[in-house]
Amino acid sequence: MENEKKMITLKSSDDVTFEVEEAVVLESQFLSHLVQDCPAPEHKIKEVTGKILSKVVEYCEKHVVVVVDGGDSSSSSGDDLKKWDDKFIKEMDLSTVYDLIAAANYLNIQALLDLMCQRVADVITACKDHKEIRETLGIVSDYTAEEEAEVLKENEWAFD
Amino acid sequence: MESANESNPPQLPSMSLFKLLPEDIVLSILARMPTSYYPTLCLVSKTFRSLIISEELGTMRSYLGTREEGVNVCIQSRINPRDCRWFSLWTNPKDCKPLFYWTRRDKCTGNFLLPLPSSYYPRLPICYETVGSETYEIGGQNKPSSTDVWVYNKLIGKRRKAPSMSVARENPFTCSLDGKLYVMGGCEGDESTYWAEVFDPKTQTWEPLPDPGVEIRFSLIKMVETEPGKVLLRSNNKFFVYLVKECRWEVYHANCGESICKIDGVWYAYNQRECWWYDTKREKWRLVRGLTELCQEFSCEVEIGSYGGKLVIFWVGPAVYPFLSTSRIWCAVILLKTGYSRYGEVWGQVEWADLVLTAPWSHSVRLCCVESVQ
Repeated sequence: MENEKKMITLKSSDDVTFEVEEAVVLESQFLSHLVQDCPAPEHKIKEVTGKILSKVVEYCEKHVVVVVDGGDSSSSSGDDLKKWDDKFIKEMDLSTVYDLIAAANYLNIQALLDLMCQRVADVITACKDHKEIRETLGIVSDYTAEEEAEVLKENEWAFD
Repeated sequence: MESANESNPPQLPSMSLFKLLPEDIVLSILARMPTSYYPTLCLVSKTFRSLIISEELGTMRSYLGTREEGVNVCIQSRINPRDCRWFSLWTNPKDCKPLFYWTRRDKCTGNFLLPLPSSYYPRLPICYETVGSETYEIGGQNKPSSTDVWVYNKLIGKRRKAPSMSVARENPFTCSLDGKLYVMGGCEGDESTYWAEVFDPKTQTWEPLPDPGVEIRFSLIKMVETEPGKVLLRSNNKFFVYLVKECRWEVYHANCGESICKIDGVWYAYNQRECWWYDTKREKWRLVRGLTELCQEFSCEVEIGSYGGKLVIFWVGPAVYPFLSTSRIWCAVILLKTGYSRYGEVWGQVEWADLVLTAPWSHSVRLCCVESVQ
């Protein structure tokens, strides 16, 4: 482990800096390529704001620790991680979730992307009907009244 | 609930909206939801509806591992055989308690056959095989005959073309076995060299299988199945098998009855108002016990299939006064209990049986095939 504790600085679009261990950066496919190709001590990520980058770093730091520690031990670290994930997403409003989806997609952090997509799916599943889904997601229906009635009729068996 | 702008700093206008998410992300979100929400989701917007009925959603579910077990049935007009309509069995999640009674007159469950959107049929199985991070797609719906094979790479989130098949095919039958993809038919019956071929993702090459013979090539294939070392093709009334190690085709279960399916590794068949299972130890077909009463109801139009480990039976019931011009499709779901006694009997327990579709067509229909979705 010659690279142990090598530190890297990430700078957000609004110039907030985060100093993190290299192992944390490697959680992101995008950043691991960036770090390999360009060995500068500081990397600016123009697409991600400080607020969101702090969440990304928080997530990656948590997950990297568990992977390293959990090598020989216990399923409890897996359970703990899940609990931590649950808490992590519960505290978040949907607009932060969207921002994190965009960031995880851009930085290519699959586990974070999965977690966030599942969060949106759960929020939609909790809605009682299509109107509540529209409201929650801020979608304006592009159906005319007639078209909507037609789709409703097509599916009407499912609503009794 | 969530407040959209709660924690955004005021100097940055909120650009974080659902509608700005890329389409593949929205698909990935929808693919994580139970399919019973799809009718509701279709009502949200036109965009949602087009995503729900898209093929891409199926691909996404495949590699997220969220495909649900279901069953589709194809109903065909006797007068116009080209008029085939696909339906999907929709069971009411609120009404999932087992029903041990049923009546011929009134619906006793909330279960129905829902028409599949027209873009779904003719809906033959698409082969999805994931090798590493890549998911292969062969065949499809309503596509013109083509040699194209597509592969979706999860890591880069992009589709690219894989090496082409040797002949153009339209709705071929596909399956995967031991990490290889088998493709059969969908081309002219007199195509003897490349009627069936196999793709090895490791070497990225196609190789033809031996000629299966005229009888297979020209028969109407209904279903493809796999067993270890075997690819099985079911036609109207015969079963053919390709033995992978020996590189040859042979006839299998010559008299398999009117309809056949495999559930948890056991073959089940319907023949002459009885349900049978194949006892591999005794090498013979044996009666499924406990279904005598139900079997009395069956007409000559019966199709069976696998529905999440249970046996599903569809049949066309008699038209009843005053609705003589309608076709009534019934369905029963049977819980199978194997190893029930020391004689190795298989017992069937009717979970529910009900009228699932009254087709408003004045012509009679026949059940064409049952496709298990998983």
